[in-house]
Amino acid sequence: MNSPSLIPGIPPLTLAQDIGPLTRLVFGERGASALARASDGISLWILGFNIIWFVFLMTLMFYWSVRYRRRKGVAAERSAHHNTPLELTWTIVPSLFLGYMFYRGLEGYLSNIVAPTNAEVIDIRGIKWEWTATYPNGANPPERTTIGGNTAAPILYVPVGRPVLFRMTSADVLHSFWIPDFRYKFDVIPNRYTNFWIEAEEPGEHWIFCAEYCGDRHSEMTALLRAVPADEYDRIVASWSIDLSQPPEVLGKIMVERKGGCAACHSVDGSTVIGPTWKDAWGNAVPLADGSSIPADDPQAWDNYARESIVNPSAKVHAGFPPVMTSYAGVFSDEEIGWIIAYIRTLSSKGAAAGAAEGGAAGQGAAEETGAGEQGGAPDEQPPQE
Amino acid sequence: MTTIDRPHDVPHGHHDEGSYLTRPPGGVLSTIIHWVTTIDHKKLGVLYLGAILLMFLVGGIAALAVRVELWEPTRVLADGTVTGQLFSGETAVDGYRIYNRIFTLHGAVMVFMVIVPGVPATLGNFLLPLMLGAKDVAFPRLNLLSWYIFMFGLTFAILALIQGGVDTGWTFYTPYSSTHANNEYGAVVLMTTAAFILGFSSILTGLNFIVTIHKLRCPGMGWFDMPLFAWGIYATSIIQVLATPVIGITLLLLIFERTFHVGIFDPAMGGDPVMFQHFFWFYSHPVVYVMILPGMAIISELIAVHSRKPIFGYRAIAFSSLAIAAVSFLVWGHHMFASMGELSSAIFSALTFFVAVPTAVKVFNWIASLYKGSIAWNTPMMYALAFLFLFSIGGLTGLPLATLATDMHMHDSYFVVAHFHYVMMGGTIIAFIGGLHHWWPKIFGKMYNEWAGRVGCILVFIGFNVTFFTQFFLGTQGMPRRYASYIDEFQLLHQVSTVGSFILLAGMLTHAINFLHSLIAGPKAPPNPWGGLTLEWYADSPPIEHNFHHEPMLKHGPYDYEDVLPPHTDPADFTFPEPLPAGSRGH
Amino acid sequence: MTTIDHRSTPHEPAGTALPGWKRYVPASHFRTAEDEFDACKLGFWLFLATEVLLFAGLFCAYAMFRMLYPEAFAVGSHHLDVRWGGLNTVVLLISSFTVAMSIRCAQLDNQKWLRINLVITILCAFAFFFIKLAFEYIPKWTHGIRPGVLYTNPFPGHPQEPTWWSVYYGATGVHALHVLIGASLLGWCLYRSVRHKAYGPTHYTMLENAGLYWHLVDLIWIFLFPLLYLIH
Repeated sequence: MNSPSLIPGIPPLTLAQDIGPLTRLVFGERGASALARASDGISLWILGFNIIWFVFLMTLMFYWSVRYRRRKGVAAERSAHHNTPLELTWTIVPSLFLGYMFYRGLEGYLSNIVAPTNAEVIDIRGIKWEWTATYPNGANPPERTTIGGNTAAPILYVPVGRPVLFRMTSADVLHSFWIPDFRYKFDVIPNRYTNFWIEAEEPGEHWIFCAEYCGDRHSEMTALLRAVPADEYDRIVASWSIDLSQPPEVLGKIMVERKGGCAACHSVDGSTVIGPTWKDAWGNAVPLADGSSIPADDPQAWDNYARESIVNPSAKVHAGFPPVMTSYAGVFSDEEIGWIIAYIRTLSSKGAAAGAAEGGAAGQGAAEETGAGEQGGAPDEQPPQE
Repeated sequence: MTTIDRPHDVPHGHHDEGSYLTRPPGGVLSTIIHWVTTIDHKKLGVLYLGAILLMFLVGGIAALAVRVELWEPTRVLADGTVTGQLFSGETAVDGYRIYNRIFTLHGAVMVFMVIVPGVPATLGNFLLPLMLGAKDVAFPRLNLLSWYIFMFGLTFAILALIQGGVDTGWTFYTPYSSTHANNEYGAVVLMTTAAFILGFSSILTGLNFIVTIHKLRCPGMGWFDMPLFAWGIYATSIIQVLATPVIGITLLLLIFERTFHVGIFDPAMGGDPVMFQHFFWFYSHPVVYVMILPGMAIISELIAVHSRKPIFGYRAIAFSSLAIAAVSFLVWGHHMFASMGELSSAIFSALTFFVAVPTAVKVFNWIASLYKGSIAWNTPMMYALAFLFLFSIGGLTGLPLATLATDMHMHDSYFVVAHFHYVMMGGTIIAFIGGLHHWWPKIFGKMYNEWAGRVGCILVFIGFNVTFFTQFFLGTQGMPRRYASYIDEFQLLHQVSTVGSFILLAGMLTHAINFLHSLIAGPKAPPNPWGGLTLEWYADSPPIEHNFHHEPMLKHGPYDYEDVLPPHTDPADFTFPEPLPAGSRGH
Repeated sequence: MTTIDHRSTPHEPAGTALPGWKRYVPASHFRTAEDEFDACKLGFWLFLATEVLLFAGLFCAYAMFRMLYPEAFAVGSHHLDVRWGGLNTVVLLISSFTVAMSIRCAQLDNQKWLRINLVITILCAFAFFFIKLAFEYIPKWTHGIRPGVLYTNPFPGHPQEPTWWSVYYGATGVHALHVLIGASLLGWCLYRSVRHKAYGPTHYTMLENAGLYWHLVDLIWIFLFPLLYLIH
């Protein structure tokens, strides 16, 4: 169940093998961490409790309904109308069970709330309709996979045997970060941080779903959690550093793919997802919702329109498209915005022609930036992987 | 089956008055005007019934559309074609947009226009004065106003629908609903205004019922001589009066936010989106008890009458209804465990377990009422047994949701969807259908076909379980709510669920046809086809305009079968005593 | 709410001198007039409970935002003039007294003073509105101090001050709407009293209920005044 399966409906074998048939029936897969399995223990206990009470009550109900069927000429016999000791018993005894249930539930919940102090913090940002992650070294994961209908779901790596804390915030509306195999979710709220932590016990892959309705592509706001051995994790994350000596359009593509989540709404192949496609966008006229337009063949006007739309998308909306874009103000620096525009330009047939002089100017500033963890000498940007 | 002897002393001036359904003189137009300006609680109950059944049809069609859409996940093939969508457009997202509007419509219609008004406005309006031996509710004109307000609210909802509908979910969470959702032509504002207006109808109905119960019980009827249906309605009305204003102010604030951008819920302006959830659930949790308490009230009546037994523990049922009403105000946070801090979550979890206890106690009482009864396996009783089965599942599956550790997994998943459908549909709607069958002869004076009723019940029961039991597993396996599409692994369970929904449809259609046939060509119903002892069965079927020929004076309790019916007597041979003193004052 | 039943008894000539309250017949589904009066009062108290809960939501919003932005509230409150707020409080308190007096007059069948007290109450309502509009709302509105997105004052004393103003306008606006409703109810009572002498010792239900509504409106202001005007 953990990785996208080849045959729909039949989950592939994974390393987490030894689960009881009941857990498999209910949850599909064993809990991927100790806390998840503890949660399953509580769930199955409650399920057992429910089944016992339900079978008991329904047996009584059906038995009496049949045994005391109405018969012609026979009225109902007298019986007690109430029985205080019995009623007190059947009030108090279930209450005791419920009290125990509450206690175990609280205990399990609190274990999930309090993160170990050595947990590595991964910043998660929910934005309509993609999850973006920033690792402690400042890098964003580049790999993408297909989950269901989402062909650009990011793959988030976590190390086996080390705790990871997801520090989450939303760029726009409420989202919720749910990893079913870890049996935990928490809402992702704008203007504040929420968090939860996990510790993967074995290598494996786990789905991440958005679990709070957030609009059109809520059902495709998915990601993949890939747990790998700790040393492999360190190597992979280090490899995500970006070589800033690359041309701005290459850096722009990296920004778009890893940090922006732009593919959730903008395609590069001419199709319409939510917003206008970037193919052949740059340099061409853009009709706006208010009737005016961005003129064609005017690089400065187009660049300004693009920049404004990144930081204040509702200012100028492309006619025929819904005004649903979230602002990226504060997400991208001015320089990164320049890279992005340079990348968008390469997707247009008009970009190459006008590009030479301006492309050189924008590239000057790239080599000066040296943020933490962004070392030179690392491999070039990774192509998106399936 | 027994019939009541008519009293021989018919009061002067009112012989052969006809029932409340008798057409007044004049043409069709005057009949329509007569009906839409009536202050008669019985006619108002029937008017509400028509409107609510119509909205049930609308919400049900939306539900079927949802299930058909979810038959297959949406995929975009290499050449760009979109597969697996019921309503597809050029892109997959077009289909998602429509789906999102449809599930919102389903929720908003079912909650605000079917289940919340549901039993109180229809059966409550019709039966409460009859059960109390009164001529009408305390404020008949207010009752008519409630209906007008209800219809006015419905028109806003229909307007919102025509404007393209809303895609926020029936819970309208901010900031999506306050700043992001589609509000072309003001659909969000229209829909929230509709809910706001409908709230007033709910408040006024509740107010009317409380005063009716306090003030209009017939002579000899103390609080503990009332049928348990009245207790259920009483507890419901208390919640309606106290909780509904809070959704009123919440929706008003949302409308202000949407139109004036005041910034209460918008984090960019310093507002708090989670505060909306607190405001919203402070009403919406008690309202689920507004939904279920009348259903439970019906079940008490069905079981007592069709088992010829008093309900075991009358006072326990009465007081547990009040206890549920009181505690229901304290547990709203259990909808928000995934967005609140630990202390709040712990407190709300504990309180939620408290509200489970009176609910469970009722189920035990009802089952105990079957002991040594004389149980008729007719349609109403089958629905009562179905209620006990389905509501027990619904209630028990609420326990892992109240438990913090497990809720963090199951919140916002299909497990919750299954749980609330079991309690709201498997509880309230099942009780409602059972109640409709039970009181149909009283309301319309016609009998329906019993075998069709039983077949319908079985189809509904099977269809319901197939549809929703599978959804528990979808939820625990990881399927989130409000998803227009899903990963391949969930397809089989979704398909099973969709098949179930069509079996459910078949059951509902069976009932619809049965009822329509009954109205057109059904046999005339006797006043007391089931041998009930509560006062409504002493009125004619259907009742006269002023309910009773004489004001009733209570002579026995609502479930005194054992005292009234001598042992070893066939009820078919027994004449139930009328609670009417001879020569009492007429109208 | 019940209204006067205008049926005269069959033996009375038209234009009889019997006042409305003596001619009143309770609705037929109640057993006695006292039952009807009790029922109407119970119903009205229930309705008042719903009004209290409606305002409770507004007070909750106030509490939340004051907790989050106490300085904005302090700064914003400074712009309110305690004298006008205090005057409005006095006006409403007087009007509560006069409406209670008018009910007393009904019980004593003092029709003249019943009407005079009602008139004073309604004049107080007008005074409340006048003070609110002329000295509070309009001067602020013209200075750009408006709710929500309409706020255009370029010099707020605190970045969250517009939130304070939204709360202020929301709370006082909804309250003012209720003052209007209450005044209308009392106006209706005045009309019925003048035209039909509708209220007297044996029947004054509508007047009592309108008076209760008015007391609630006053009570809500008693809470709003210190919370809005008297914070530091």
